[in-house]
Amino acid sequence: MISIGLIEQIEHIVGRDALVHDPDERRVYEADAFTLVRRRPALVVLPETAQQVRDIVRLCHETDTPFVPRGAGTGLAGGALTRGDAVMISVNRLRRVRRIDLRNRVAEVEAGVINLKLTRCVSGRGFHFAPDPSSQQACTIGGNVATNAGGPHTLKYGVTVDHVLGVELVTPAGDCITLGGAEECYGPDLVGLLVGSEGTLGIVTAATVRLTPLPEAVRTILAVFDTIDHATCTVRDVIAGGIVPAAMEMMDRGVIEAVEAAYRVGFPLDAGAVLIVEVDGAADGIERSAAMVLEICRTNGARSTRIAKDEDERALLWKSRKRAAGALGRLTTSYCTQDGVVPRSALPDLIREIAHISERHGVRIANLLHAGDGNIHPIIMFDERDADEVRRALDAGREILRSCIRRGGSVTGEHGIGVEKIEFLEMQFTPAELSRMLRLRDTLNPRRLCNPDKVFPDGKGCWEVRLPGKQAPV
Amino acid sequence: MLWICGGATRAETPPAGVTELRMPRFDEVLDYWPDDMTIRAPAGMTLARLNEILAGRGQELPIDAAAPQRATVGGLVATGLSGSRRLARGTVRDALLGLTQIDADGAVLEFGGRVVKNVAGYDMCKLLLGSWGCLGLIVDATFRVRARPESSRAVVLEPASPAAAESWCAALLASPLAPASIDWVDASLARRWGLAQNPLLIVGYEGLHEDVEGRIRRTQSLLSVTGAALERGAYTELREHIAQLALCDPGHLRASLSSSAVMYWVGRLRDLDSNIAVAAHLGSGVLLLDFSAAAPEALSRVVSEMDEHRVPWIVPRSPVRAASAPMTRFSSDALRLLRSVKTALDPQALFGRGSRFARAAELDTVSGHTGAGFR
Repeated sequence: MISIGLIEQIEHIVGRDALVHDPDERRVYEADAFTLVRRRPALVVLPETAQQVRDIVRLCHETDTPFVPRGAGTGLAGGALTRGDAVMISVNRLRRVRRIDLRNRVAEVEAGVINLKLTRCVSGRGFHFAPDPSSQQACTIGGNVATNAGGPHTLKYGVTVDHVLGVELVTPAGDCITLGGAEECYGPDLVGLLVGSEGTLGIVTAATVRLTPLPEAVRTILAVFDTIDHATCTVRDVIAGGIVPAAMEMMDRGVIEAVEAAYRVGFPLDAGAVLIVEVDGAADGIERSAAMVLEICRTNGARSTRIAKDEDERALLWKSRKRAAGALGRLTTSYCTQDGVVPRSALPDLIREIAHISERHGVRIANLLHAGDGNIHPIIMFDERDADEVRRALDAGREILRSCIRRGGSVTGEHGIGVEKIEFLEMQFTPAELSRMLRLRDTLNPRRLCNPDKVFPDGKGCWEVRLPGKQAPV
Repeated sequence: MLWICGGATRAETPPAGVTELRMPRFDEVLDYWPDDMTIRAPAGMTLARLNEILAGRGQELPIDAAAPQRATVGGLVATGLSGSRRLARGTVRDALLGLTQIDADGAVLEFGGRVVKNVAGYDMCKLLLGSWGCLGLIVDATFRVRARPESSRAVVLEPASPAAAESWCAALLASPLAPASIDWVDASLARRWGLAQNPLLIVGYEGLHEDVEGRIRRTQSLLSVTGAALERGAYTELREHIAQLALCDPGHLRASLSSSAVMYWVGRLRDLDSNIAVAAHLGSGVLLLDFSAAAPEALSRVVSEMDEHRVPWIVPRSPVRAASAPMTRFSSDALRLLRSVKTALDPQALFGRGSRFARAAELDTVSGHTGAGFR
């Protein structure tokens, strides 16, 4: 779908090894972790430097060719889908850690550096990169920046934007610019605007990020509750009590069953919910912080509470949490993971409502929550061979998100809009609000060549969702 | 054309023909959800009033702004500047969850919201942050607030030299002690505030009692030094003193450096004019200069030196001695992007025309037509 001439010119920039042209090899790139829509890109390019990205984008701009950036393809909202006439620009080979400056707690890394790899680079010297999405073993810093990725520990440490000081960006017209980089940048927060813009304002090729000291002491608490209601009330009370745990994660019975089958963590199968609460900080105050959390758990009727006795037990708890959605794959032929947010105090009501929605639509829904942030991940299970059940699963998902909006929340806390949630953007924002975002996009990406048809309603018609399919873990 | 004014701390007056808009009547709290630890506050409310309301529920917005009795919510967002405790307690940027604004078309727009995680659409709030009244009128802001810490104290140390201050700061930042603030003040300021005759390094901690006690003790053993303790009131007062430097006449400059470069610059400034008073949020690399006692040309000399080293700086308050001095300097990349944003959101330059910020960002002359793109 793109001209031989353009392919030759791109090959001239990056070399033959950096092109994926064979139709079968391109199949890998036809979807990210949102698999309901598949489109094979016309060409996949794997540049190694920001200059190569710039030159490719310039060519695309000159030839009116759409292009789509891609990190590791772990996105759950279809942000890295391409149209059949587009060039996919993978940042996977932009893998240099350009600078690590522990004295000033910053690193400059290229977009293809894997999240966990950055942490591993500095953990021996007492630091880490705090945003820790569950896909952190695979996802890239570029993807994290594009989606403003979260993770369990954002409760205390903040999401990606809180850790990005500056970006190097190839603009939609093919210029390589740098913005920010210092602790304070005077004037409007342009870096903050670019983080989370899902590749619609340019391709981030590198970022200057904060490095965070590893906490001296950590206590990971497991609390088991008879009902999910008791667990959500505990979350509400911990937040209202002014305690800021590093993380506060919840799994309901549906998730517990799957996790037990997969990892044998020792969760009781008859429990309504388990809560993993992690407090961290200096050693001096850690015991009382943990005691305060334990007390709130007990006041809310926790059946049992325990503190992980060593690093192994802590690691097992986190493995169970981070791979929980994957474990659910054993219980169902297909599932889709939703992502919504509500004010923390609204969690108990919302979770009750999800139970009603599940009942009303006759679909099983398991709940996985970044509970401390009010960020829910209901996992809706269905049989994709059953068209009626598929329809009911989709309806249930929509109803949950509408409920999040009604309760003053958002339709996405960390996965992004991509193509999956375009219709919901219109529910969350007024036409005037959306038009201001569109004006920005159309000023900065005037020919809409850069990641076209994403995020905003004017791209809605381009993506036909057929059947819900299996998704990667949250 | 509109000239938006909060607490009037920037000491600028609108040019002829531009209407000044103040919002002192927007001072009633709109919504407060203490259990969610979020509050929606109107633009005209002062920071002091906001914190008074929050204190009723044991909460606070831990931003150390200059003149909290005057500083408004709208001003906090429009300047985007934060003080000492940013190191552990965050900045205005971190606390801001949502905004209501009126834009150049007169539309009331709400961006962000009251949830702590939200990635739906562009984060338009970020553009109003630090916009100095040039991109829209802030009507109200929703913040994530914090529990007022059980204990809030600092330890005051006297480093023998700039090099000692640097090495202490480096040791603290590499430690797991997580100070809420690491501030440095020069001898002239230490004397002015009745603290000491010599430069001081003030390390603050917040948290549970035993936690703060323990970390203050360990700070001193880590650095092999003993210092005087500042209790909550004195620690608060000191942070306010530092923040007040922003209001000094005839000139104040603020700059953002690597934390490790701050003490080098302290020496450099001494060479330029030993009468420039210097404080720094040393742990965060923010330098705060007071030119009241300095020679008239000192400010412009510092500015050109900083430009040479590509150090971001701002003169937030109109300097009496150099009213025509630029307010800040943008890189050419930032300037281009900023002008595109202005073109998209306020093509007629309705907001902030003629202000020092608009001049620095070259916003008064945007083309008015959209679709040009940015290269």
